[in-house]
Amino acid sequence: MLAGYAMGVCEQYAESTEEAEEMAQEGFVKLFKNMHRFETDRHEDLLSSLKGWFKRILINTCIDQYRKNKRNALSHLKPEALEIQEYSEATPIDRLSYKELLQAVRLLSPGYRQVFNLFVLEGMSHEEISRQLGISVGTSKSNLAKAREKMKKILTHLTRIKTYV
Amino acid sequence: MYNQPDEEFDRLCREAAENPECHPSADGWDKLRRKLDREMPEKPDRRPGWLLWLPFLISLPLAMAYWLQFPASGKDLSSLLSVLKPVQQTDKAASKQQPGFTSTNTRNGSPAKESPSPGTSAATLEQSLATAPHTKLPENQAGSQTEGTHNESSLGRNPQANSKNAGDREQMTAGQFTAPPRIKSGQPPAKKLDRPKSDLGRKPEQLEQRRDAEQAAEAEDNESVNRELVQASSLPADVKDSSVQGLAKSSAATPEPLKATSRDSAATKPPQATTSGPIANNKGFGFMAVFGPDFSNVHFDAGSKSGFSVGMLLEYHFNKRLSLQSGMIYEKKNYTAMGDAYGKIPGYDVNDPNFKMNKVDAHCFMWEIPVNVRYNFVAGNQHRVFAATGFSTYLMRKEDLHYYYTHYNLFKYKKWMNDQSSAYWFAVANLSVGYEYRINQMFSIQADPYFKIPVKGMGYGTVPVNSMGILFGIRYRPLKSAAPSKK
Repeated sequence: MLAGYAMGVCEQYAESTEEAEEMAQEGFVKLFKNMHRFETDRHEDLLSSLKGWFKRILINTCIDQYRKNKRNALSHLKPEALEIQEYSEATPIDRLSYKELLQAVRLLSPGYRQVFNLFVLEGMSHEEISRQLGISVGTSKSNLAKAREKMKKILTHLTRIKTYV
Repeated sequence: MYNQPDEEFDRLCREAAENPECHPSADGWDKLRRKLDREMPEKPDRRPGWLLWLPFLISLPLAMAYWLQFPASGKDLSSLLSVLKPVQQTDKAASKQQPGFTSTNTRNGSPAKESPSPGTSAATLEQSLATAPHTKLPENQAGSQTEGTHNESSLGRNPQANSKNAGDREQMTAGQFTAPPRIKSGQPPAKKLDRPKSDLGRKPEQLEQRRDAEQAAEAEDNESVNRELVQASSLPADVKDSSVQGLAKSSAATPEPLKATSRDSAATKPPQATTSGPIANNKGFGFMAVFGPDFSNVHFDAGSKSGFSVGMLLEYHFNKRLSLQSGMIYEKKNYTAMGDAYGKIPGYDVNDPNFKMNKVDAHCFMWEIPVNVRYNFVAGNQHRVFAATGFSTYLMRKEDLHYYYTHYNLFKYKKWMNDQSSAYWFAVANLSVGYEYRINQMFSIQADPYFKIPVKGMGYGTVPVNSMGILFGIRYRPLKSAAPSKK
């Protein structure tokens, strides 16, 4: 139950499924190591509380991994994997699957991806993101805007491909 | 989509992220297990079952060792004699060269000591023991008599005079003092007696203080004898003759007036009621403060932390060996009931097939009222080994319960506190074997490893709780004031 949940969270932050799996396992280890800190008697719905707590662990693990990768080499600052043509006709869609979202997010550069995930999916403020990632608030805002723009491009492209197929 | 507002786009992304469709790979669990084994190696399950028996395992050899070391402590004088006889015979040769053995204060019923004293035969010892009354005298009284004998013998009296004076004393103080052991004429008397038994185990400083006190008493006696001599000179002729003769005889026999002589002279005084000092009693009440760790469990399932016991006990001693104990002990018992051993949970039916109790951790605060009978197997003056048994009533004050259960395949946890008091009469049978060390006449300390067997269940879940542990105690037994006696 928690394994699928952990994978779902980590996929959004990881470059690949293998990396997501590694981060999920790391999250599990942290969970078991810190289980004694989880105050079971303070929560009405134990499972939801545990999931929320575990999600925080997973996100922190992903951020740690991002920082590690960022320190390691500039190679991680890969160029845009996909050059997307701009399409003049914009057709707004009303539904987005998890798979499409994941596909799009993974095409973002790590810096953009982290800010996008933390702001859009986790609901963090720019101040919190700046603290977590060690960047300025301005950079966080800038990265978010660029991440949104690229995400829209990617998703539009993917939708078009799907339509053609 | 490209021109879609940011808020709308964010909402779409959030909705998509809410339903992740990810599954770990087939070998993901294996990888995770290996990682967990590496990062968090599993500790072996330490079931301290043997630990629960530890107090008994320790106490048993201690009791045996004590029994072997002090075999005569709890036996009567005849058995003591049989133990001493071979010792006398085998060490006879050695006692010729070195100071021999002599009996000491046997009048208080305590075992005779072996002390260096030349020229005392086993026959003398045997006779002394045989003639010694089995009734126990107060230790201080007995001690003072020993001191008197010590003074006499140390001053070098001859045996005839010694025995004669002893006879005189017996006549003059009949009804006031118990006669000292007679010494057969022709046999060498105990020249010099060892320190009283109460001196055993005392520190050198204490012994020095005691010697000072003896000297002071001796000096006082000398003065009193002098006073008697002066008084005798003013008495009527018939009385004067007898008393002066008696005193003169004893004065002539000894260069210094003696304590015993002063007692003799007391016969000439008008009788007056006096009260001797407090004495230790075998019969009567005692108080004991107890404390110690408590290890409780249900069906010997380990996993809970130790609790504690602290309380006060009142006891009545019927004699030197038998006593009855009761009191109040405040206890905290921690135990873990595995599986369905704990059969009650508020808000659920434990018989529901969709309900499964996994574990209950309980922390209980309660008062215990034990009623125990104690018997001293070894009832020495300083060391005692005992066993006690009885039943305990429990007054439950508070139960802090942590439930771990599965309901409709969902693992759940619930914490509940039951603060309703309830009584469980004679719910537990007590068994204990312990050791007591007497510090002085009033105080003693003891270690009492115990095992409590549940007779019936107690607590909210009516669980049979086993308990083991050790109670350390400090006992106080008030000294009994001696009955007023006429001198």
